[in-house]
Amino acid sequence: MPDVPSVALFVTCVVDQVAPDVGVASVRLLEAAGCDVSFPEAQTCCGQPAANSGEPEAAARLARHFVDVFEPFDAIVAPSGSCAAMIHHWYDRLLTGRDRDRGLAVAAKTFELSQYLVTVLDRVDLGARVDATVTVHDACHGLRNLGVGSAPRRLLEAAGATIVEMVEPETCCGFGGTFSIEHGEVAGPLADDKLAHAAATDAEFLVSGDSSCLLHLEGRRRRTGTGPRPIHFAELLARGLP
Amino acid sequence: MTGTLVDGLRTALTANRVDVHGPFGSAEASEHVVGRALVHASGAPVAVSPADELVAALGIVDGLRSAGVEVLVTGDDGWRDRLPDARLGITGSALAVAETGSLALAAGPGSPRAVSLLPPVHVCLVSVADVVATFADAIAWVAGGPLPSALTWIGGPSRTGDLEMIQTLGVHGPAAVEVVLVASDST
Amino acid sequence: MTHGVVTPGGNFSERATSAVANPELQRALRNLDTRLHTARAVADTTPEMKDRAAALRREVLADLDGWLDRLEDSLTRVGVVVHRADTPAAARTVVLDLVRANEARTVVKSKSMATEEIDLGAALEAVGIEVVETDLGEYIVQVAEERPSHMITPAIHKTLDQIAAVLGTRADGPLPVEREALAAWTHDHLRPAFLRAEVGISGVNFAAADTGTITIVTNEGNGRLCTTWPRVHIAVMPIEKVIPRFADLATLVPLLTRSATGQSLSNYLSMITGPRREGESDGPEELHVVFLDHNRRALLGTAYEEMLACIRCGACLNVCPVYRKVSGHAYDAVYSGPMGKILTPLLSLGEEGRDLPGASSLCGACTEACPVEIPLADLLVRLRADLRVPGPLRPLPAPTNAPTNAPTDAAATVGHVRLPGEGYAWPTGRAPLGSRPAPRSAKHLLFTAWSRVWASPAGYRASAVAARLPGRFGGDWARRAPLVTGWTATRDLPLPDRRSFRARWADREPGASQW
Repeated sequence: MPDVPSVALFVTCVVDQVAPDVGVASVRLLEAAGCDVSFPEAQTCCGQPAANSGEPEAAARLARHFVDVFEPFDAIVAPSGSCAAMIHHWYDRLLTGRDRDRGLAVAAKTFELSQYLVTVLDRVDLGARVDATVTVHDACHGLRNLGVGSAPRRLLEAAGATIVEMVEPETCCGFGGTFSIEHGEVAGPLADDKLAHAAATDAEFLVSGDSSCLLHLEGRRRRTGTGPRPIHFAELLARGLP
Repeated sequence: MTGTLVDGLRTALTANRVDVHGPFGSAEASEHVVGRALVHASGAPVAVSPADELVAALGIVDGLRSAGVEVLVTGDDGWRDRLPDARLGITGSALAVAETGSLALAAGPGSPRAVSLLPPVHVCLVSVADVVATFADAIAWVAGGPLPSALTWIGGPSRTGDLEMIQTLGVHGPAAVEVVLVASDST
Repeated sequence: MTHGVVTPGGNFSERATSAVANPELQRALRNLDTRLHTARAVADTTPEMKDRAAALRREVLADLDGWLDRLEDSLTRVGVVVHRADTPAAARTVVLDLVRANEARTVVKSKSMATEEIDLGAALEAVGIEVVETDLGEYIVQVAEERPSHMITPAIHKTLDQIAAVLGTRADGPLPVEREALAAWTHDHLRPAFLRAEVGISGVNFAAADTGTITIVTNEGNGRLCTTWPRVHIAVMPIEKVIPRFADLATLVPLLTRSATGQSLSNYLSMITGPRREGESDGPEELHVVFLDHNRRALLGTAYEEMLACIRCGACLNVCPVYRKVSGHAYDAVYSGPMGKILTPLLSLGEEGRDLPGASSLCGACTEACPVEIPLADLLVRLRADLRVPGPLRPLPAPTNAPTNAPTDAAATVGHVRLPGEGYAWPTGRAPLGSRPAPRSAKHLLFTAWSRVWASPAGYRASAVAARLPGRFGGDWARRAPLVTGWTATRDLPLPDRRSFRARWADREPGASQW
C-alpha cells in the first residue's frame, strides 16, 4: 500500500443524482483516512438495474463502459454494497472473453466504502465523533455478496456511536430495485417491518450502507411517521469529522 | 466409553420426550418390561416382536404370559386383525444413536414393522452394547451388511409441527415411547 | 380447490395484495418468524455439511441417467417394480392403473410434493377412489379444499382456531381449540382409513442407487403407516431424488432435517429396501416406484440444472422476506417461495408462473440458506431474462466461462464472496434463448435505449438534466409520479437533488484540503 492511497470514487448513479450528500461524505471520509480521491467524470452506472430486470445485453453495455472508465485506477471505492457487488458478482457472468478478463481485474480492485476503510486501509478511527444511538440495517448485497458485515459497525463504534441491534438486522428492507416498483404491495410491508424493528431500539438513526435502501425506507417513513431517520453511515460519520 | 455413549443417548432421548429406564441386568429388565406391560395394557393385548434379539434373550413373551398378560405375536391367528387393538408394542432394536436419540429397528420374520407403530405405547429394549455415537456411524455400520426390507428410525413419540408450528405429540404413531436399557453382559 | 387465504386468479401482485391484507394469515405467519427460526438455531447446518451435500447432489446431476439406470437395476433386484413416466399425465396413468388393478377403494397418502405436482389426488377422486391425506397439515388443507401453502408445513397459513373449525366439519361436534386434543382426534379419526386402505402412496426423499433403498422422512408416523399396512405401496419419485450410495444418507438426511425443521434427525425415518420378504408379517406385498421426469431432463446441461439439486427442505421459503409476507397461496403454484418461483416456470416450460421470478427483491437470503448451495437468486435473475421471449421456455446449454487469464483473481480479494453457481456465463451478445430474435417488448426497448444513453457520459448528463426538471417545481420528495405508481402507492418518491454530486465535485475548490 503506497503512503498516500489513490482512490477513484465510483459514486453510483443513485448517490450522484438523488443523494449527493453521501458522495460528499464519502470523499471526506476517504480524505480523512489519508486517501488521494479522484472522481472519473465519465462514470455513469454499473448496470445493475438492467441485469436485475433480466436485460443482460443492456447491463453488459454499461458494464463495458464502467470497465473502460475505471480500468486505469488502482482502487475503486463505492458507497454502496449493492453496486460493488454488481461488479464483483455479475461482471464475471455478463462479460465474455477479453471483456471478462478486464471486468474481473477491475472487480478485484473495487471495494465498498466501509470495507475499503476497515479491511484494506485498516483504518477504523477516522477522527469522526458520533454522539448518537444508532441501529444498523445490513443491506443485502453488501452483506451476502461482499461479506461487508461488521465494517460499518466498527467505524461507527470507533466514532463513539452506541449501536443497538434491531431484530433481524440482516433481513431485506424490501427495496430490491425494480421489485420495489413492481411489487410495492410487498415492498411496503417489508419497509414497515424494518422501520418497526428499528423503532423498537429507540435509536436516533437507522444506519445502512446503501442509499437505495435508505431512500425506500425514508419514502415509507414519510407516509407512516414510524421509525428513526434512515441515514448512510458515511453521512453520519462525515458530520462528525472535525 | 460405553458409559458416555449411554449417557448421551439418555440425554438425547429424554430431549426427544422418551422415558428412559435402566440400564438393568437381564432379569431386572425382563421384570421391568412386564411391569410396564401391566401398567399400559389394562386388559388389552400386548404386541411383541418375538424375533428381536433382546426380546428373545430376555424371555419377554414367556414373562408376560406368566404374568397373565395377553400376548400377540406374529403367527398368531388373526394377528393382522387383532394388532390394531393392542395397547402396547414391545420390540428390541438393532442399534441406537447417542447423538440424535434415535432407535433403529430392522424388519424381518418375527420382527414386524407395525408393533412399534400401531399401538399407542411403544416399549423398546436397547442393549447398551448397541449404542453408537453418531448417525453417520450408524449408517456406516448398517451399510456394511445386508439391508432389511424396512429399517425404521424412531426418535420418540409421534409428533407434528402442523399446529401453529408448536411441537405436539401423538398423531399417528405411538404417543409414548419408553426405552429400557439392558446392560451389555445380559445378552 | 380454492386458494384459501388469497383472492384467487390474477397475477402475483394481486394475490400478494390480498395476502398482505389478511390479518388471520399474517397472524399465522408470525409463527414462522418466531417458532421455526428458534428451532433452527438449535440444530443448524454447517458450511462443511453443506459443501459435502452440495458435492453429492452435483455428482448425481453429472450423470443423472446413469444413476437412474443403476437405481432401477437395484430396485428391480430387491423386488420393486419401476415405472418411468415422462409427464404428469403418464405418472397419473401408472398410478391409476395400479390402483384399479388392485381393486382399491381407499388410498392413503403421506405428504409428497411429487404427487401434488402431478395432481394425483384429484385424478384418483375423479374415478371414485377415496383419497385420504394423512399428514395432519395436508389433511387440514384437504378438508378445507385448499392447496398446501408450504412444502414442509402445509397448513402454516392457518391459526389453531381455523384448524379446529376445519377439522370440526369432519367431527360429530365442535372440536376444542387445543393442540393435543386435535392431534388425538386426528389419530382416532384417520386410523380406520389406514386399516382399510388397499394402497398407500408416498413420495421419496432419497433413493440410493447402490442398494435400491428409498428413504422417507416424517415426524407423525403417517409415512410409516402408508408404507406398512396397505397391501400395495406406490412411491412417486421425481428423478433427481436418486443419490449414489446408501452411505450418502449419513450426509443428506441430517442436512434435510436440520434445514427443514431444525431437528438433528426427524422423528421417523423409513429406509425401505423392497417389499415384504418371505416370512414377514407386514409391509406391502407390492412396491412400485414411479420415476417422474416432467421436463427435468430438459434442464440438464443448462444453468437451471442446479434446481435439480434441490432436496425440498423449505429453508429458502422460511428465510424469504417475500414468502414470509404472502405465504404459499400467493404463488398459485405447487411449489412456492424462491425455489417455487424458479421451478414453476421451468417444469411447465414457461406455461405457468411467468411473473414469479420478478417477485423477488434478490436479497439472496435464499441462496445463503440453501443447504445444497443452489444459486437461487442468480437463477431468478437469469429466468427474468429467459422469460422475456413469449412462448415456451426452452433452456439452452449455458456456456461455461473458462478460467480467466485476468492478472488478478477477483475471488482472492477483499470484497468478494464466492457464491455458489459460479462458472456459468450469461450468453450475452445474443438472445438468451439462442437463435431466436431478442424480445421487442417495451421494457426491452427501454433498457436498450437507456443503456445506450448511459454508456455515454454526455448522454448520462443530458438525461440527468431532464430528470431534474420536475424537481424544479416542488420539494425533494413526491407523493405522486407517473410511471412509478407502484412506488408511490406506498412510499414518497425521492426526486433528484438540485445539485448532483458531479456538479458539486466540479465546483470544488481546486486543491482544497477540506470539503
